[in-house]
Amino acid sequence: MTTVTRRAALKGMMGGAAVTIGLPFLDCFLNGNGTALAAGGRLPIRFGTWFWGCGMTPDRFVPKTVGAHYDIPVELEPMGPFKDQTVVLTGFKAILDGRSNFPHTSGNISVRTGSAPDKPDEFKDPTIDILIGDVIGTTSRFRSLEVSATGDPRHSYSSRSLGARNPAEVSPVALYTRIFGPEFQDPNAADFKPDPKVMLRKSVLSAVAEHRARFMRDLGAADKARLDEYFSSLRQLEQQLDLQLQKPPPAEACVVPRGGPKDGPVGTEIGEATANHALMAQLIAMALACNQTRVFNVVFSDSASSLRKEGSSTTHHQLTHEEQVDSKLGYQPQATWFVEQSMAAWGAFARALAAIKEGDGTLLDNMLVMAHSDTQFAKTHSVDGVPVMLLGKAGGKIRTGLHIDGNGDPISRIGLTVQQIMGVSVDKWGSGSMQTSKSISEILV
Amino acid sequence: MTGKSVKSALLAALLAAGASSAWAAESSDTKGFVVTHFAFASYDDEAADCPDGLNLSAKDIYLQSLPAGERDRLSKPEAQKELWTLLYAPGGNLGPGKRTHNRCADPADFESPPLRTVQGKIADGMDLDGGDPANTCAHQKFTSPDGKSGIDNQLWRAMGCIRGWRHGADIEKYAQDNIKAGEYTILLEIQGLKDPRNDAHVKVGIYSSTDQASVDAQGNVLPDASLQVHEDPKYRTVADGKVVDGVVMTKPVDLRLKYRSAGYVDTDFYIRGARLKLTLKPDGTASGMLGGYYDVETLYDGFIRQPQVVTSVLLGYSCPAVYAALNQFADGYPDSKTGKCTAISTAFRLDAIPAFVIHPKDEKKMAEAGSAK
Amino acid sequence: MIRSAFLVAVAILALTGCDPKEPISSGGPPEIRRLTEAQYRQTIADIFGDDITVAGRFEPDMRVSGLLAVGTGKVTVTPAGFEQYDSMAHGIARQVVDEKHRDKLVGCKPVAPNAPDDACATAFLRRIGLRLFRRPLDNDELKGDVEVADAAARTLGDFYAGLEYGLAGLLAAPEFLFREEQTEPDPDHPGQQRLTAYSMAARISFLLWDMSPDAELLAAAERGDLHNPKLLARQVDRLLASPRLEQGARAFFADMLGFDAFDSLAKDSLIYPKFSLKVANDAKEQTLRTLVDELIVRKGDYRDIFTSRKTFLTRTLGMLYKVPVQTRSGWEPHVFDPGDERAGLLSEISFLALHSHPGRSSATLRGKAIRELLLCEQVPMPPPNVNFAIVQDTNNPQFKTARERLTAHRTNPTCAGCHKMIDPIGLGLENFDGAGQYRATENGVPIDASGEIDGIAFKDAAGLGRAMHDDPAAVACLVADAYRYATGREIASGEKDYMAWLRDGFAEDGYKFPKLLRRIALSQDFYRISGPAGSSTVREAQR
Repeated sequence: MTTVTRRAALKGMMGGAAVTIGLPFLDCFLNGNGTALAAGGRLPIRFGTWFWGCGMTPDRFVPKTVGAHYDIPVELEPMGPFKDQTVVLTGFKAILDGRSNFPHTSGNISVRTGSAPDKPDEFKDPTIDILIGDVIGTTSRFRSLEVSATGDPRHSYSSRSLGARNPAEVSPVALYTRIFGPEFQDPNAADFKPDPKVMLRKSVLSAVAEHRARFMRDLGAADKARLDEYFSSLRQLEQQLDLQLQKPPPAEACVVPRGGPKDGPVGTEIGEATANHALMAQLIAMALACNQTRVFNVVFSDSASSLRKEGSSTTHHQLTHEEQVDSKLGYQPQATWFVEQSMAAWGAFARALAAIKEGDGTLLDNMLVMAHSDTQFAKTHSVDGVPVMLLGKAGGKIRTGLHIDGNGDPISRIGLTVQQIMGVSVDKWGSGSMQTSKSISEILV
Repeated sequence: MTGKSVKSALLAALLAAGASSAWAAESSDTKGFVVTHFAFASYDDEAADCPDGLNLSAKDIYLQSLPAGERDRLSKPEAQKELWTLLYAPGGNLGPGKRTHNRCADPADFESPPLRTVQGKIADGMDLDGGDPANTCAHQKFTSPDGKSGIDNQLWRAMGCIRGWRHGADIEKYAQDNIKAGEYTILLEIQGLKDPRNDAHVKVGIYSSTDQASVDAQGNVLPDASLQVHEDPKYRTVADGKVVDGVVMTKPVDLRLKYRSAGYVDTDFYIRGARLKLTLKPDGTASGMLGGYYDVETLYDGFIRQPQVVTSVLLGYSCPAVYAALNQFADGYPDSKTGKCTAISTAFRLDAIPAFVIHPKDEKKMAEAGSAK
Repeated sequence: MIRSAFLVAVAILALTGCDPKEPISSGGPPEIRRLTEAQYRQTIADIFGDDITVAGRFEPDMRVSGLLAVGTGKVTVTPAGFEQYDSMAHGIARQVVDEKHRDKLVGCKPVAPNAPDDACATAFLRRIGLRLFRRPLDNDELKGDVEVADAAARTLGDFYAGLEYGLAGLLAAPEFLFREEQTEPDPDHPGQQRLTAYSMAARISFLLWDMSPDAELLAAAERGDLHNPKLLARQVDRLLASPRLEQGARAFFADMLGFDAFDSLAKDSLIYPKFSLKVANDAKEQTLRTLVDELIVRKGDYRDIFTSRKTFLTRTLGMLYKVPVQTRSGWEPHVFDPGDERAGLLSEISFLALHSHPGRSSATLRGKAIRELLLCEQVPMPPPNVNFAIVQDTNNPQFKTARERLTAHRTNPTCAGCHKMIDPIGLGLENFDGAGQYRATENGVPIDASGEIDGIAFKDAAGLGRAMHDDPAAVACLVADAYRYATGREIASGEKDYMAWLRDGFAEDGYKFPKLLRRIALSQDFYRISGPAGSSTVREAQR
C-alpha cells in the first residue's frame, strides 16, 4: 500500500479547495523511529466504529480461507488494498437467549453492547465506543464525534444508557463548523493566546455545577443516572474549555481545512448518502489528526438500511425481503448492489484515514476501526455471523491480515477483545449466553 | 354513432385507460392548461432550406471585409476583446436605457449583405389566409411535412437559415428554458365544453400569467398547479371556437402574450389574427399550434434589437439584413396608407398539461376586455 | 360515628372543591422532564421577545409509550447536546444585553456602565430566574450567578457584557432545561403528597400552552391561588381562552401523530415529482391547522376529525390534491365535494405520506399507524427469523396491486395472525399513493379499497373514516394520550377509575377537546403524587 504525501493529501481535501499548511512538524520532535514524540508521549491510539445496515451476501462476502493470506471475495474488494491491516471476523453469533430477534436491532445492539435487547431499538447498556472513550477519550476536546450519512441525528448507535444517545452530525457543513470553526485551536499554530472569555465561560459552568448537590438530592436511581449524565456532559464542556486555555501539543498530520464544504442535500438517496459520507470521512480523519477527539462513530446507512435509488419504489431494506434471487446469478441483484455500495463507502472511509500521514506510516497505524452491520443475510434477518471488520494496527496492539471464523461463538468475544486492545481493563463482557471472558487470542499481540 | 353514445364510449374508454387526470378541471365544462413547450414552427432539412449555407454572423461579415492579415490576427482568441470592441463600435450598450447608434438598434441606417433565406418548399405552420389574397401581401407558400399545401410561414422563410433560429437551436431552447425558469407563463382555458370530442360553441381563453409554473427536481413543469391569469387585460384574450373530433379550433383574434428572458428580453408576442388548433388527448394533456401574423416591429424589437449585437454574433445573423428581410416577407395587415404589410405569418408549436386557471375576484373587468377584435 | 366521618369527608371535599364525581385515585410519580425544542423556543420568545434568535441544534427527543412527551422523562443531555445548550445560552444572553434590547429587557441600569453592579444584576437575574426556573430563586442560588456576572463585568470592563455570563448560567442550568416537579404534603389528604403550586403552574402551562408559565400564572402560584379550586379554575380558563391554546394543541397533536418523522421523510423524486420539502411542511401544517380549527376554534366533536371534509390548502398542496386554490401564497379554507374520496384525517397527505415508503404506499404501515397512533393498540414486531422464501410466488412475481402483493400476509398462518389486524385497515387507503395522491387504478387494475376494522366493514376511505368515527377505542385513545402527555408518564394502575371518569366526561362534553383538557387540569388526580412503594422519587420542596 502506498502512503500518500501530505501535498497530495492537501490536494484531495475539500474537493481541491485551497488549504493552509501548518508549520512543518520538525523531525526532531520525533524519536528515531518516528513513532513517538521525543518528549516521551506516544502517538495517541484512536478508536472508531463504522456501521452499515442490512449485512452482506455470505457467498460473496465470507473469505473461503481462514487465517492469514485470506482471499478477497467480490463484496470485500474495496478492502483489498487494506487486507493486511484488516481482520475479517465472520461466523460469530448474536445469541438471544430466547428473546425476539428484533429485525436488525437485535444484531446491532448485540455487537455494540454484548447483550441482546428486550425491546426493539433499546440501547440499555453502554455501547463499546462509550466504554473505550471513558478510558482513552477523557482528555480530548470532544469525548467522541458521531456522524451519520442518513440525515437523521438518531442514527449514531452510540449511547451510554437508554436516554443518553449521542446525537449524530448529519450535515458536513455543521460538522466542519463544530470542529474547525471559530473555537478550533490549531495545534501547529506558531503563537497561542488564551482567550480571557474562555475563562469566563468556564466560570459560568463552575457555577452551574454547584447546583448538583441540591438538584440531585432525593432522586430515584433512574433520574439520578440521567442527571449524572447531564453533569458529566457539563464537565466535558469544562474540559473542552480547559484545553482551549492551554497551548495544544503539536500534531504533525494536522492540516486545517480552510473553507468548509458547501451545503448540499442530506438524506437516504444513495448519491446523497455517499457524497455526504465522503465529506464527513475527510473531516473525521482530519479531526483525528488534529487530536480533536480519539473516538468516533460513523453510520453510513442505518439499521435496516433506508438507502434507496432515485426512481426506485423500493428501498434497500425492502429489496432484501422482496427481491427474487436471480437464478443465474444466485443472489438478489438490486439488494446486493446496495451491499456493494456500502462496502465501497467503507473502502472510501479507509482511504480517507490512510491518506493522513503520521509518523512513519499513516493514521491507520495508530487506530482501530470496528466496522460492522446489523445482520448477516438481511433477507432472513439472520444474526448468525453478523460481519465485523477491524481495520488498523492500533499502535501495534493487534495482529492483522487475518480472517477469523467464529464457529458460532458469541459475538461479544469481538467486543471484549477490542476493548482489551484499546486498553480497557475488562476480562468479562456481555450478558446471558453472550457473557464471555474468552478473548480472540489470534489477534492479540 | 350518436353524440350521446360517442360520449359514453369516450367515458368508458377514459375509465378503462385509467385516466385519473383527465378531469382535473374545476368544473366539468372547463379545462385549464399551462403551456410547457412553445416554439416557432420550423423545419429541419438544412441542405434543402439553405443551399448556400447558413447566414454569416456580424462578426463573420466584418472579418470577411478585412484584408487577410488583419482577418487572421483578429480571428485569434487573444484578439477577441479587440474584435468585440470593433464590432460594438460605433454603438452598443452604455448602461441601462442608454445606447449609442448601432446596427441592431437602428438597422435601417446600416448596410449589410442580404439575409440568406429559406429556399426549401416544406415547412411546419398553418394556412392563415385560406388562399384569400385580400388583406395579405403576395408571397410564396409552403407545404406542410404531412403534405398539406397553402402553409403561410413567412417568418420561417426569413429566419430559417440563421443557425440560432433553426429547429432545436438557441431561440427554441431559450423559449423552453424560460418557461421552466418562470420567466413567462401561458395558460389556456376551454370554457363551456360540454363534449370534449365535438362541441359547436366553446370559448377559449389564452392568457399570460405572472405566476411561475411549478417545476420538479428535474426541472419539468408539474401538472395541476393553480395559476392566475395576468392582471393586465391586454394579456388576456378570449376567442370563440369549436371542437371537432377532439380538436379545438378558434376564430382569429388579435392577442398579446408576455415573453421574457432574464436580463435580455422583455417583449410581447403580438400576434394579429391569432388562431388556435389544439388536440385534446385522452391522458389529459394537449398539443397543437397557435398561428397568426406577428407584428414586425414588435418582433424585431423583442427578438433582435433588445438582445443586441452580441446575440447577432452568437446566433449568426446581421441585424440590418434581418430587418430588411422581415419587412420584405411581411404578408399580413397592410398599412392603410402605404399598403405595406406590417405583420408576418408564423405559427407556434405548443404542448400543454392540465392546470387550474385561476380568475381573481374582479373578473368582470376581464370579461369586458380582450374579446375578438 | 361513621356517619359523622362521612359528613366530615363530604365537608372536606366540598371545601377543597373536589369534583364529587371524580373517583379517588392514586396519582403517579413526579417526573423530571427535559424541555423539548418547541418548549425551549416558545419560553425564550415569551420571556425575551420574538426577535431573539435561538441558534443551535437540539438533541432528538425519544418516543416512549408512543409519545415524545413521555420520553422527556427518560432522556438526558449528552456532551454534544450540552455543547449546543451552552452555545445557545450565550447566544441568547448576548442578544438580551445588547444595546438594542437592554433597556427593554434588563429592567434596571447599572450605576456605572463599565463596572459591576450587584444590585442591578441580582434584580435582573432574580426576575428572569423566576421565569426560567419556573419558581423563585433563593439567595444562595442567585449568589453564584451574580458572582459570575460581577467577575465578568470586572474582567471585561462592561456591566452588560458581564451580565451576559450571569444570564448564560441560568440558561444552561438543569433547573431550566429540566422540568423538575416538587411536592409537598397534601393537607386535604393526609399522608399523601401533592405538587407544589409552582409545579402545578408548570404542568398547566406546558399542557395548555407548551411553554413555561407566564408571569401571571407564576404570580397566582406565589399567592397560593392554585390550591383554591375556584382560583385554579380562573387560571385554567384564562389559559384556555388564550390564542396560545392553539400552540399547545399543535404540540399535542404533532406528538400524538408522530410528526417528528417529517424531519427524516424522504420521497423518491422520480416517482413522486410533485413531492418536495415544501409539500411535506405544508402537509404537516394542513393537518395541524385543520385540527386546531375543528377542535379549538370551532370547538367541534373530536370524532369528526375522521370524517370532516373541511380543511385548509395552499397552492402547493392543491397540486397534489388536484383542486384549484385561489390564494397565491398562504392558506385558504377548502371543502372537498360530498362525493369526494377526501374526508378526514386519514385522507390527508400528512398521514398518507408519512406512513408509506419513499417510492410506494404501504397498507401495512398505514394499518399499523392507525392501530398504534389512533387506537392506542400495540402491534407486535414481526417474528424472529421470518422465512420470506415462502412468500415469494415464483410463478407470478409481478403482483399488480398492493392487495395482491399482500395476499401472503393474510393467507399464510405465520403472518396472518398479526397482519389480519393491520392490512385490511390500510388497504382501505390504497386509493392514495405513497405521496398521498389519489389514484383509481394501480398498474392498470382498478383498486379495491374495501376492508374492515374491528368488525366494521367499509367500502372505501370515507367508509374507513366513518368506522373510526364510531370506534370507541379512538376516543379512549385520545383521552389516554392526553393524560400521558400531560403527566409525562404511563398511566398508573391506581388511576384506572380516574381514566374511566375522564372518558365518560369526554363523552358527556360532546367530545370537545378543550373540555377534556379543562377536566384534566381541574382534576385532583392530576396533581396527586405517589411514587412506587419505597421509592425516593417523592421530592419535597425546600420552601
